[in-house]
Amino acid sequence: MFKSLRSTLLVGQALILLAILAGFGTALFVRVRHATLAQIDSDLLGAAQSLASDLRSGGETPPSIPEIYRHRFGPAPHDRPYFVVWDKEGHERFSSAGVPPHTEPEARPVVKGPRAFRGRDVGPHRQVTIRGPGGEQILVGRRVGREHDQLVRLLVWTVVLGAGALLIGLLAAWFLARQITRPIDQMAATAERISTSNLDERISVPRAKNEIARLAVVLNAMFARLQSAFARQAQFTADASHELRTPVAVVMSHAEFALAHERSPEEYRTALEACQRASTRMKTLVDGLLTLARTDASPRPRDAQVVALRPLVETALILVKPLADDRSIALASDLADLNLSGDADRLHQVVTNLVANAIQYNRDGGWVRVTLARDGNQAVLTVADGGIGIARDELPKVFERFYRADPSRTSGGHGLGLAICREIVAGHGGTLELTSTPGQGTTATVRLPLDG
Amino acid sequence: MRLLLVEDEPDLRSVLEKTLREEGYAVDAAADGEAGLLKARENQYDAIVLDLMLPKLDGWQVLEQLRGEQKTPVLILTARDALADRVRGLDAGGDDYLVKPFEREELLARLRALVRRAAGQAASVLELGEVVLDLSARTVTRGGVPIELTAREYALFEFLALHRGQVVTRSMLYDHLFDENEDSLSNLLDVHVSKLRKKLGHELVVTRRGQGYLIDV
Repeated sequence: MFKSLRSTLLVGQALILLAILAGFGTALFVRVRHATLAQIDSDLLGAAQSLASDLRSGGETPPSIPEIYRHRFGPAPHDRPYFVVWDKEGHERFSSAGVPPHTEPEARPVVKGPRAFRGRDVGPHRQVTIRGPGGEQILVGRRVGREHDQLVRLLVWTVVLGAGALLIGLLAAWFLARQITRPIDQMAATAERISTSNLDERISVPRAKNEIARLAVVLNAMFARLQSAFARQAQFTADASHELRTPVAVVMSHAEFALAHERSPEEYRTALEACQRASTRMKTLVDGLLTLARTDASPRPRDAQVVALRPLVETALILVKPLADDRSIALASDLADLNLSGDADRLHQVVTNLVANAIQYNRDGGWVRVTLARDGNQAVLTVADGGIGIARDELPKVFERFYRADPSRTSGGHGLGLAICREIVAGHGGTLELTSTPGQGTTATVRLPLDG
Repeated sequence: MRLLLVEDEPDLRSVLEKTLREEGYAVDAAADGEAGLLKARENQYDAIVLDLMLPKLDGWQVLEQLRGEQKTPVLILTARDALADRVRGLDAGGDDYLVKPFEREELLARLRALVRRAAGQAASVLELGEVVLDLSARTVTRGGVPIELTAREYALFEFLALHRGQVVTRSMLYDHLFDENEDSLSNLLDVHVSKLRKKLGHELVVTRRGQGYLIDV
């Protein structure tokens, strides 16, 4: 399911912001409330201690709360403090105005100590009780409406400010997310257009040097590689179809000619022979294409085994000897015993191909010399001939697929041999090079690593 | 009609030669560009079938040199099918472009069209009085009645008809009706002309003594 990066960013940002603001607001509110209540208790305690000192000195005269406390508790009538004094037995001795009905003394006696007191909340009232000089219970209380109102206001403000901060934070987050995702969206749209329609186009790279610019550069490089791969593939396909056209034309023309009228057995025979030659050529080409497709698909030998190179080269030489004998070409070899890990069939194909080439582009009565030697941890195979050689400007082209020394189609080969050889050698981690002097001969050198 | 076929693939060359001969053309063949150019310069061809990928001289080079010298129609017959190749081939002086593999019927039709246009005839049916020549079906009728002609008689009549109103010399006829390997005796031509007159009417082919023959209807 598609979930846009922008909404993910936004939701994440909102949750984090909400948690921070809620935590901060709650902590603030709790701290302020605690401080306020402590202040109330402290003031009530002060008033109670003042009453206690009145009791100690005044005997039976009713005590009163000093004016200074009344002032601190607020000017409004309902903020006025009140008090009750109970004796040890719990009988009320004194009380002020404004005591809420049903005010009872503390059930448990107040502990001793310099600032010992009990505090309790009764409805909207806060009441503090201390122990008087004669074991009395002195209760001072008041409505805490003013502080309560202040706390409510604080709460409202915290919530309002928090919501505002959340809103601003979300707007900022939305803007940022858009800043981040917009170039990505554009890039995705361009990339989609490129991959579906034309590979010529490129993503425009943002000026800022950031990850998105880097992504654009990387994607562009990838498109360039894709484009050249497609172009190579198209060229290869065109070349392959081109190579098949002439033999197909031969088959078609001979078949049409033979079928146009009643023919003599001799003529049918000629036509069939021509068809056979053309189809052999097509088979060779298709085999070559298949080998190339396979080496392209898995350049590394799939089932590597230990290959003894000397017998492999010897077998290849026996195979091509008739070709050399036909043209009185002398085949010489000097082979060392070397083993390496690789694909015996494919390596055999390389050797056969190189030696067959050396014979084909040779003069009658010429020579071909094959050597196999060790150089460091490399096996070095050379196939040298004293043949016609390759012109300097032609040399780089010989590894191109479908390249042929003779541009017309008479030479019989399919022009894939050296390309296949190079792919196979590269698949074994080796190199294949050609050096040539026109008129004097060509040397092919294969280097294969012996370890691994 | 005499054609030059320049094709390096031996199997294709041989079957094209046979196919074209069977259609009544006189055919000379060359296996490479150099030989092809040489023959094109030596002989008068009604059309040239030219491959592009040739040893020694490739098809483009042959065309380039040929176009400096003559107007003989050239049909390019090649495996190169890319747009750029087709454009280059036609721009270099090719009159038609056919990609291998090709259908025999199409090759023959294109050759007929090339020869017809080169002779200045647009239609493929020529009416010469009561004699009607259908170039595509290769048939001749006289007053609506089909006339049987041998391949050589047909070729002779076709050549004269395509050049109607012009005096066709005996050497022109030798050039265009026989290929290089045929041992053409001069009286053989007279034999073909007299047979043609018997079948199509004596007044159709006029003899201009010392000059040649003429169809002028």
